[in-house]
Amino acid sequence: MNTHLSRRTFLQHSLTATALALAAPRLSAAPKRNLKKGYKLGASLGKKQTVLEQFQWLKEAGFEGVEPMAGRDTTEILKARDATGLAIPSVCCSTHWVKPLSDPNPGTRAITVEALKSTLREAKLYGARSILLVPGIVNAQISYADAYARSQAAIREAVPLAEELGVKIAIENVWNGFHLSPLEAARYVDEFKSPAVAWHFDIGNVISIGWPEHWIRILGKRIATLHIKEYSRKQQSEQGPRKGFEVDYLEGDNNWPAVMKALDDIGYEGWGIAEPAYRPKDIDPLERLKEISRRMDKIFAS
Amino acid sequence: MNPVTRRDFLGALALGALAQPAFAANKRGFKKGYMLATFPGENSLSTQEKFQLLKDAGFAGVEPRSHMDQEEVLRACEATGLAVPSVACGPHSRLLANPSPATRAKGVEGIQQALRDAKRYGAPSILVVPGGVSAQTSYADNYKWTQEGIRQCIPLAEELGVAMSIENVWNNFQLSPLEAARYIDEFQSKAVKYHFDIGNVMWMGWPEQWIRILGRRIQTVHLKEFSRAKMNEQGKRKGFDVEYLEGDNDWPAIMKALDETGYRGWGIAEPAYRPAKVEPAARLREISQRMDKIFNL
Repeated sequence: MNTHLSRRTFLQHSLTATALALAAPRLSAAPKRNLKKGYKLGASLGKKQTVLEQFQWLKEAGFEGVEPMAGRDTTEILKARDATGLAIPSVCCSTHWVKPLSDPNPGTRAITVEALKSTLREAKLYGARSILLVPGIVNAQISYADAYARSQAAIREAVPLAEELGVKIAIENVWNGFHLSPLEAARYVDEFKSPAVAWHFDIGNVISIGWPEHWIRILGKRIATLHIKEYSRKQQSEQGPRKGFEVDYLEGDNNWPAVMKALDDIGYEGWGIAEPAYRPKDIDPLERLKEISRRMDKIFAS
Repeated sequence: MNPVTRRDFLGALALGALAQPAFAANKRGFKKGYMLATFPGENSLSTQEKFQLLKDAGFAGVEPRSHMDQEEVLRACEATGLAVPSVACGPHSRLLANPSPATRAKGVEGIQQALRDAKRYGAPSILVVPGGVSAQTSYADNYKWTQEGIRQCIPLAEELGVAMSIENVWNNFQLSPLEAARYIDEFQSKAVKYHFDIGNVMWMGWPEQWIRILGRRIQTVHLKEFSRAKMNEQGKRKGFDVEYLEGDNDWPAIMKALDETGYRGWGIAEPAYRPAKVEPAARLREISQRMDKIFNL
């Protein structure tokens, strides 16, 4: 049923890839892969800095882009973007955890549908190609089946705007008890039958339940953006699932060469955005950003 | 007490009185079974001795492995009166995940033997583990290969009238209840059902949700406890080290979900918690009593 669409999407991508190859022939000194380093703005930088200072630090540490939260002062973010030259590849919806699209209350869902739409508009303003959306939460009160149906219905309300703006709604796999199967995740996206719905794949978030290299091959061209995160199965086994996150890049159980090879195989080119779950205390933020940036270079070259 | 509950209660009493005078029946009429592979303690008991201890502890049925000496199993059943509600062939069906087609063919043969064993024992279904996802076998490959292998067994299953019941285990597969239901439906055969393990989904989901989603596809139920607290504090697998009724299973919600789907059949114990140095008879009685409590919630 989707063969025609898939083929068209594939051809479009091939043409884009060809155009890129013609426009920017690879230099011998160029990085091994066309992956750009981004950073998800969050609490890990500390709140004492201004937005501009944060952008400046990221720039100094070698990042090329920033993923901000939606609902912030857009003028301030635009100024910081223009002052530093950092790109904004993605914007993170800010209400999807507290007012989830899976909530039994339609009024609650409506709040995040509106937030989703305004995140799309902010993304357009920043020049971002996609937004990050957590599609809902499964818990003791909200069943997997309800989360599936309610979140799809809610997202559908924002699809026309996403198509009109040319900004993709990229669904992220997070620890929300939902989207536990990569096949189902792919199906979930395909059911929208819209080029404006894609995937925001978080590498570290699936290691507790599977293998990111499998997810990447299954999701394929649906992947619009990547979150780079490490995970330790050993710490999961010995100390509990959440402790699996407390490990630095390249020191957990991510099989980075296999992950990179899977990305090469699907033809992924674009952003690799750091969302470090490991946040050591009492560390100079700028030094930490530089360390993360160096480790990402190693990962992208592995 | 409302009329329906009271009638069920009286009906169960009457049934219990006729079938098993020595043991009070639970209010739902669930039959208690025990998975033989998890027989407690280090012991060298014969099959018949194990069956007898199960019978003495109040179990009505036993789930043996496939590929046993059929005559020995039948003699033990006859001597004790235990029924065989299911036959387990996990080690064989796991071969369906193997990248080698020849190895997968061995898995198919193993499942077919389990179907014949079940027919011989009068069991309505067998327990099938749907392969397993690993670094070597991707989720997509496992989905395809296990469906292919199971499909090859459908003609025999239909001919024998024995269902293949797919179990959710810790094999990194079927992590979504919606996908599990779809997986079953895609066979378009009444010979493919679900063998639902309550405790195995607790680390990533809620059994009461799985039961409602799987509904009538559930042929058999495995009873198992799980502690999310232990998982979070001591490591994932430590979540199993907890006695029935002392973990995080919301048993009243689980029983309510089973009631709503109309499930009436076997509840088979597969205790993951296996304390060391136990006396088998006493341990079995303890499990049996706790199951009674669960079924009466």
